[in-house]
Amino acid sequence: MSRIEDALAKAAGFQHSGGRGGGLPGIERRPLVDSGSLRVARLPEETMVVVNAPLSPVAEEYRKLKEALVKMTRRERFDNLIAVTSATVGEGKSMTAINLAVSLAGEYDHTVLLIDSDLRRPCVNKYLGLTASRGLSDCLREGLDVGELLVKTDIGRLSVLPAGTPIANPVELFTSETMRRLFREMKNRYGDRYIIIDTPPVLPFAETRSIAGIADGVLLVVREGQASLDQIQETIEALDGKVLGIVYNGAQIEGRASYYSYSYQGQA
Amino acid sequence: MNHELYLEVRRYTRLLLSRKRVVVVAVLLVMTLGMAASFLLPRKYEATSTVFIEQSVIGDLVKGIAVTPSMEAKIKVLALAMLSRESLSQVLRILDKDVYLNTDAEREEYIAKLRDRISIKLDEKRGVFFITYADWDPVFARDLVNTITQVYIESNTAAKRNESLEATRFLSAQIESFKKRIDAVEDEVNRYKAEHGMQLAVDETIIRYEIAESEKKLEAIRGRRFALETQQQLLPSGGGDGGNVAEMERQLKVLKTAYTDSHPKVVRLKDQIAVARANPQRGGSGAATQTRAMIRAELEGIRMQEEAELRTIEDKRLLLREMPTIRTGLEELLRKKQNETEIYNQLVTRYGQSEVSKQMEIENKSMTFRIVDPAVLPEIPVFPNRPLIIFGSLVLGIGTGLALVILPYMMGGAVRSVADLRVLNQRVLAVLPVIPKPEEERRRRKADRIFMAGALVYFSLLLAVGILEAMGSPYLEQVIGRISGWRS
Repeated sequence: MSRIEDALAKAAGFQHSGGRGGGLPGIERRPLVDSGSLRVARLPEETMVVVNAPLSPVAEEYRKLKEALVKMTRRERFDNLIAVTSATVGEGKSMTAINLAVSLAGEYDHTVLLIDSDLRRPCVNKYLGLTASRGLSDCLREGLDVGELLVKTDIGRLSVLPAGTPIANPVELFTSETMRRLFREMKNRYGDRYIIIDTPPVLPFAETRSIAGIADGVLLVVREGQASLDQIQETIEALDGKVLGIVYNGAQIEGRASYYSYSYQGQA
Repeated sequence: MNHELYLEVRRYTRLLLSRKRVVVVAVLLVMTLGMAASFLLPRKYEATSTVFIEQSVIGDLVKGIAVTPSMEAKIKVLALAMLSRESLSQVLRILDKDVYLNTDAEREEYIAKLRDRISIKLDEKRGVFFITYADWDPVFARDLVNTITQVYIESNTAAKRNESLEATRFLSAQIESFKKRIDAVEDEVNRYKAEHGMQLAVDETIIRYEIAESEKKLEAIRGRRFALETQQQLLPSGGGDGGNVAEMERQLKVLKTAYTDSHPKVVRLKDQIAVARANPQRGGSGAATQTRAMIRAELEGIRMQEEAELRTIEDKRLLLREMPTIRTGLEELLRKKQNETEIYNQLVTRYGQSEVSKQMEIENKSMTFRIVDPAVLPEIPVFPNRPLIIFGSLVLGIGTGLALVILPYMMGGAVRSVADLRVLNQRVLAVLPVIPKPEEERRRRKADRIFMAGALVYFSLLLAVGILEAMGSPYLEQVIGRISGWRS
């Protein structure tokens, strides 16, 4: 059994035991439903369309994104460390990262690890209905083993590394050698899986530039009517040519809104 | 509609709807500020006096004969006179305002400001003009307008205008001068006529006829002369009498071919023949000598006649040649006289008009202006115009709200469609539409409804105030007055 599987097993054991005996303190797992499949209960966050409305056209768009990503990353070497970011705040990074991770995890071929690296505004827990309080920041600060803090979800083969304990200045953590070492270790340790990193926006904060330096590729989320072209250009330049492509979010597509709405509600 | 334009309109509509609160808050805020300003700004009161300009009956009677100044010109003069430093200084003295003005500079400044604030407007149709003045103090506004009107009318009655008199004086001098010039030309014409009276009196056709007649006469004289000369040559130096009679008869035949029997030449030759036949004994050299002497004497007479006729012809021809020049000279003089006479006549006419105008001016002095409505104490302020400010602030608020939403959107250069991303040379991996959030949408709609209801109530309140003000209702004024009364 690999170390990750061992860790996952431990984490699962902790979740099933409800936190009693063994397992890591501070990590709780609220079970979704039917482990191993996407047929889970509705997530509290309505934008989690891949879970809540897997047959909707929006979920289909995420599948297209997944396919494109798989094609791009399946090269001679597997580029599995993918960061998801945006130029400014509120462009839909976390939503994209989670939906993409869920979509990847829904396939039998892919095991996915989703890391919430936005220590300023962590939201993966909230979106997925997790209550784990420890995560990435604890690994970086205390040197805890990642495997011990992973939370296995019931959404396909999706595991989550939450943001962890809130800290005052995450930039120092992310620019440290510890962080580089940690991400390199994860990439090597989970070389056959996709590691999707939800990061803070690029322009206001510095940490994403460090993460992008380590990542194999970056997906840039652009929300309609938000960031300017100059800002996007600046973001692309700041990411050192790691941008794999743009995910255009919040598009106002005439005549399709009602259809999306109908499909989405129909899945509920 | 162009599809791109349609999309653009939809985009802006959506933007405005999504940020409607900003627009509503801006509208209400600006309206509230406008309303507060309209109630807090100091009030200005306006007093107006109406003055009637009486049209004299003489004016209508002498229309076209005399020159009367237009109403507009009258008002210009009137405004200048009313707003003159002297007039305004007098007004300030009467109103005891000058006691507050310590220096000349202060007075000048005050008068200049006063002048800017006094308005004199003409209603030509009604024949009235209005003197208006606005001031923070309604009593001062009223008093100023009434005093300024009074001062002007008084000074106008006493004033003397000399323009008409001057014009009459000028015209009179001109008439004198032109009269002298006409007299001079007339003398010149008379002299000329006297000098060339004969030539001017004669008709050209008659002269030509007389020349022709003289030429005919000359011709006849010459014929006679030739005949006598021939006869003289034919006389024998001492020949017989029969030959002489025969010769004379031959000459008679020749003459008869040209003249009638009653022609003097023919008659004379017949007489000679008769004499020759009756006195056959007088032949010989004595008779011939006598005949020759007669012929010579006759020839002498004929030559004199010929010369006289030639002179007559020459004189008349000369006259004929000189005649056009003489007539042109006279015409020139007559034209000059006519020109002078025309100007003289015009001057005389204008002089008459001027005399009438002068009389009219004198007539008009004391009765031109009459105060119809003196200024009364104004009670309703003309400034601030509350309805205008309130409704203007509504428009301004809408503009501000729209600008607050649209300008940042336009200026921010935010990405508005996938097509905008082309310039980045990046692959667009997915286009994710807006994901509806029914629950959030419900909450937002509910919050919007509460917000809009509150805003509507407040807006209705502001609007009601605006409408009340526009209707001139004193209700709000009374409420404010009561509140101020309680406070004080």
